[in-house]
Amino acid sequence: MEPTFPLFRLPENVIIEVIKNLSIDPLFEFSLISTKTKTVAASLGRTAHAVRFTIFRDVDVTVFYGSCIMSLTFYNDSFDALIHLDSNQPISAHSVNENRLVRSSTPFSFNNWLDHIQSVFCCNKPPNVIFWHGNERFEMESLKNAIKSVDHLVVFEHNTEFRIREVLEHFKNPNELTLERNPYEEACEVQKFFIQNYNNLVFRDDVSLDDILLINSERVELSRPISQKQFNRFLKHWICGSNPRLQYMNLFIDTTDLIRGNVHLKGIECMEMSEESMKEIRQNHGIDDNDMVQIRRKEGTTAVIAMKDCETFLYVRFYVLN
Amino acid sequence: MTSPASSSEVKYLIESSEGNTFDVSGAALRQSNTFNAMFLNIGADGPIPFTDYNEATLKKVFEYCEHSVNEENYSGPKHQDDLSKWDLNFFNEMDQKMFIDVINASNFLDIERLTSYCCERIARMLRGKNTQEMIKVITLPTAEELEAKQKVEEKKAAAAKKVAEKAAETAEKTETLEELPVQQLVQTTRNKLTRKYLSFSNE
Repeated sequence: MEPTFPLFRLPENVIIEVIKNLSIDPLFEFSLISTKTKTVAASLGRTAHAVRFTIFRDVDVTVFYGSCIMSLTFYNDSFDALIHLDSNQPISAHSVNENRLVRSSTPFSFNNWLDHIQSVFCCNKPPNVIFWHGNERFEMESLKNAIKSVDHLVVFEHNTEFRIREVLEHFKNPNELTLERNPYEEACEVQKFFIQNYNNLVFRDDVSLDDILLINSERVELSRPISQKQFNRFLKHWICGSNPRLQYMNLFIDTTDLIRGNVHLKGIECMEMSEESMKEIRQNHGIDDNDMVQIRRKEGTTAVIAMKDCETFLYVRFYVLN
Repeated sequence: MTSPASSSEVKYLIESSEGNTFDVSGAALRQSNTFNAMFLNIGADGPIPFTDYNEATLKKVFEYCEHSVNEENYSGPKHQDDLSKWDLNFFNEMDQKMFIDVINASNFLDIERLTSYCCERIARMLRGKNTQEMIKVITLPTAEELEAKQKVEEKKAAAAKKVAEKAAETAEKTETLEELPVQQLVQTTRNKLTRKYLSFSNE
């Protein structure tokens, strides 16, 4: 028989000292005992720096606290029917770390679990949400109702175009967007996303120069190579004042069209950088690129273009200096 | 009467709930932050009344403090596996009632190292258990038990007030110290204890 201990006969400050010794999973299980234990656990002020929902055939909710990770899985059954994340329907959670069911003392709905996680780990920020392959199993409106707002929305390419559009329509205003595939036929439709002022935009499908010139995010990552000519034109527009909000962009330039020569900086007034300035950029941004030039736009803002030759393409990082 | 600039040889008289008194070295007592806040600088005139705790509990607590006198400075909680053989014996020879009394006394006396080790020991009982198993381990209190706990806390608050009054009384009698700082110290101690125990009573 397990030994028992009347923990609640101790003063609250001692109970708090006891649970300070618990790692993330046992602390969470402790918080599920009662409203009192939830309050005590939350009073530790362990603030998760991120909560991530990964939606595939099941829903994984991962809490990141310091170097600790707690992961709970919901709806990991084998049924194929469309699932409505019913806010009132009791549901069990499975702990990935402990490899067992996690049960609350009173039955919890999915929303109850989320509220509880957010209370115990003092999360004020909306979660990051990843839509992975298989997430069609969940009815979108009910997902939206459960998750509400999103900090970083990630939509993987495995999704159908219809599903990607559905996700983007329901989760409209994330702070960051990662879009692996353009689900729209008309250019103007995807350009709505380039115009938005995200903190960070990652786009992994083909982009045109028009798309790039519409970018209104602070940080941008483009995965598909653009031509030297497109990049050259982008620089000329930037010098004239385009993309005023842009602080950082990385992209690839296709260099296989060597017949035309090296044209990506053609006609651009580049300022050579001292070795010390280049070293500072390398240190500040943790890069090892050798080639760097500085350009200046008409109103005086400068930017550094750091380049790394990767045989068939140039890996370019564009830093706007303040 | 003890000297304010007490050394490890100085002994203090401690009074338990039974009214019994016994000696504790200044060095051991200095591990108690509560003692440091109340008596360290002004000395104690007569026995120090820790009358909310019985003699056995107080002796056990100060046994730990006496043992820890020569140990290196406390540097945060240690895992139970890192405890010395003496520490393990110290904990293992206590029954649960004594263990709870020791935690409560250690918490009141604010002996960081002992409280921390006790708490780690309790946490160990919770690790690796799910919520249902934890519920079984910690035996959730009934409404009657919660009420009784509140009464105990009130009693403790009264006892703390008594100790603070004793400290204040001693301070007033101490002629070697300047009047103003002593009064400030006593007032601070009274306020601290009142706050601490009002917060317990309000739980």
